Amino acid sequence: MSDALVRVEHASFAYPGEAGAPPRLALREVSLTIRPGELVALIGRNGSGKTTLAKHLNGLLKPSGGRVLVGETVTTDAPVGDLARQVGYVFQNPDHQLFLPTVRAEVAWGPEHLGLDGAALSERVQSTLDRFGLTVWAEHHPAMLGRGLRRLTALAAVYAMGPRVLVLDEPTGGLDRQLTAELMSILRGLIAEGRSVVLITHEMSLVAEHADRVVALHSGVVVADESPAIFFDRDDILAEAGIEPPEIVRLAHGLRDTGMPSGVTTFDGFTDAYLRLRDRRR
Amino acid sequence: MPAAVRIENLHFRYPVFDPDATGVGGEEPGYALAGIDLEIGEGELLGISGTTGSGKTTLCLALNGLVPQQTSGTIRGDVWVGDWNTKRVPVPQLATRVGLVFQDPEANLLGLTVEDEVAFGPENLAVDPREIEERVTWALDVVGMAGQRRRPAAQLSGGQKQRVGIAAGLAMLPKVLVLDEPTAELDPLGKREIAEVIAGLREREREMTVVMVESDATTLARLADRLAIMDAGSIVALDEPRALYANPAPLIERGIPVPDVSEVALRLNQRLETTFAFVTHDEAVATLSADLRASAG
Amino acid sequence: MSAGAFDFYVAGRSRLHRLDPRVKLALVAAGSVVLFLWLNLPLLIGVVVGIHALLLVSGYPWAKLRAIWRAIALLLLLIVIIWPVFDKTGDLLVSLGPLNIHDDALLRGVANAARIAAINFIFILWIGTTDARELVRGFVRLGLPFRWGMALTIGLRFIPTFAGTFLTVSDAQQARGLVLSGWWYRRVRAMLPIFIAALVSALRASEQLAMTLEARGFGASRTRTTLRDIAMTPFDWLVLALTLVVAGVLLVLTLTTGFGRELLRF
Repeated sequence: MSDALVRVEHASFAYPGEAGAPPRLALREVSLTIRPGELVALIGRNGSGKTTLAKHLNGLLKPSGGRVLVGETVTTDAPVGDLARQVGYVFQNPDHQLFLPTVRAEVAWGPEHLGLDGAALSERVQSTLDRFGLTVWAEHHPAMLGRGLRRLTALAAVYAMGPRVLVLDEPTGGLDRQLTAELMSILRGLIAEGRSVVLITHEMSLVAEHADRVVALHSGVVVADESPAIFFDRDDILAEAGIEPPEIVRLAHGLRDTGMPSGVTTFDGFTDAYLRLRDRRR
Repeated sequence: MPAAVRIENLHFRYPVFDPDATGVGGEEPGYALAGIDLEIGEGELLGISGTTGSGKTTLCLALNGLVPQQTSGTIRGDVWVGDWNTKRVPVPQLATRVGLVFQDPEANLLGLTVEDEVAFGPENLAVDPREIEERVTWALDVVGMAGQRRRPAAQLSGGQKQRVGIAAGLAMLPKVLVLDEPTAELDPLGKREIAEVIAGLREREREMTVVMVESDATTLARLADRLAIMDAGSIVALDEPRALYANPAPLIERGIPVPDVSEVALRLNQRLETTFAFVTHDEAVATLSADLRASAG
Repeated sequence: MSAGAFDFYVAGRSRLHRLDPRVKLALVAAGSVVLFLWLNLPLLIGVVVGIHALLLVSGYPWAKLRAIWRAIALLLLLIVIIWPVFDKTGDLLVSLGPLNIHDDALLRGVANAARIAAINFIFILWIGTTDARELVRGFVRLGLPFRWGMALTIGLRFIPTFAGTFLTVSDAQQARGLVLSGWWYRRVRAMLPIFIAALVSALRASEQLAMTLEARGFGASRTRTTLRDIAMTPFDWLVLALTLVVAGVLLVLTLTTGFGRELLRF
């Protein structure tokens, strides 16, 4: 489909080995397409290659075999800073991406470098701040804010460049329930307007509740690319990839022999299915 | 049960840089700890849960004197570890009674081999080398890292690093072991590793008091004797985890993590006017299966 | 350059590895003094080859040695190139416009480069085969206050960490639109945000480190014990004695007869 935002075509990648050790293959002929308007969860054990794959999406890493296309551009043909206009990457540690004295300055920096100025710039900055709930913190120094707010600031700064795809590396670490819900709601808003989000995460409950697609990696190979409902029922793949399904799914599985249907992945889904079961049995 | 730690009317505020900065709430703006009264009994595992910014980490640092001695700031009230007051006894000395394990596995390590990391503490205390050897062997055995003594700690996985961090704390032979979100930076496998280590430690060393800040409610339900819920610098609830999680609505409202099955129980209770109170997976399966079978009859 | 470039130590069980760190330090010190006085090209090259042989026989990986050569190659090349500009001894070899290159001067440049390489690799003999703990312990047993030794250990431990942080921050900044290309000067200016973020990271790390050290009782006692201490074995004493004797002899020889100070003849 030509509306693909990012295309990974048979990409392989090896990290250079240390002092004489052979290079280790982190990705083996991986193919993946990111289309508009989807939330893709990228999961796998530590060392499965998920972060390596994610870093190929914006050109931070270039494949040694195969190629990666961002729009029409092959990632080896453009510097990362340019690709950032199409694919934004929010790092796990927000402090690595922040360096300016106010939240407002952070959000303005990217668009300024793109050549925006005057009214266009302040418009972009203000709308971004509003969108991420940062307007009240705009004049604060990011270092003085809590981790969740710093993360939102980094996300806003990356978003302000206007990318169609946003990659987030473990964004919910250290965030409590409320902040996590706020973050996911913001992401869902981005999806609604046609952007895509790639979420690297360990939190399966988040994947089950919010992801449109689950891409699971194991030893550098994609072992699954499905909707959560289908993915979490595949016990064989879960075992192979070393993934544990979220508690809700485990509970639903535990009630299989009393009639609980497969494909239950959310709290609402579980409650509805349970009520139906109860009614049916009357 | 004699108290291992007594916290009396503790208030603490970090040094304030910006007088206009909005604080964390509590009785005065900017107070990270706003009136904590708590007695932690010898040999108990006290869990601490709460929202971001509720003061959990600050409380951990207050237990071994880093708050206020290292962090500066304004403090009122007292923390007593036995007969030592954490405002007056120097932190390195308090470290012989309170072992602190930080959240970030890297923070607990100094870049040495596993063995040297664990030996570092007793070496600072000028313990006899033969006794250091015994402590190191014991501590590594408790955390299950005995076979990795000579490995550089930097080469370990996250879960392994955290285990070494715990061993390093244990080697000081503290009365109280404080763990600040030990699994927060670990993947699910690492989380399980640490939960096993804590469970094993409690089996082996029954007089050791453990204070554990943890956001995984299921782990707390399993391991904690009592659970303190913190919000905006105060303890808003203190009870057995089972009792707290059986009534999850107020916790959920405050944004405190509860076991997923407890949330399921709540939702079903709301829709069906039942009184489910399960807290673990197995209880949930048993109770709900029974309920479904009963409703068929 | 990767974060691992600063990691010289490679574990091993050879005689060289097991030598007491203080003896290795003496070897390095004595060797450096002698090498500083020498300018004889075949001798210096011989020393470099000899050190390599010793390292390889002790199990030091060739890949690491190659990496170290790569790191100092630019410096050595610069020395060889720049030297004839200022030194005009010997016969004229070739004339490149205003620059006249004389044969002796060129060889002198090479000899100086060889000397730098020799001293460099003699240090590798020491830090490549001694782990950080033993290294520091050696100094402490020689009288260095423990606090300084700890500072050294932590410094060594954090070099790869900071290098890694720098690279991560560089990636992170590029991911939000920082473009690192163009002129030297432009590039360095563009790297300013990276320096800032990396510095903040370093400051946070040092704050945390202070807490960790205190929480492990650092400073609790004026004296300190060690789990495993270093001790001189008979072999260590033998090597030490040999080192001092040989270095002494060479030194006397060099200072009195000019041995090793002439470019090509002994």
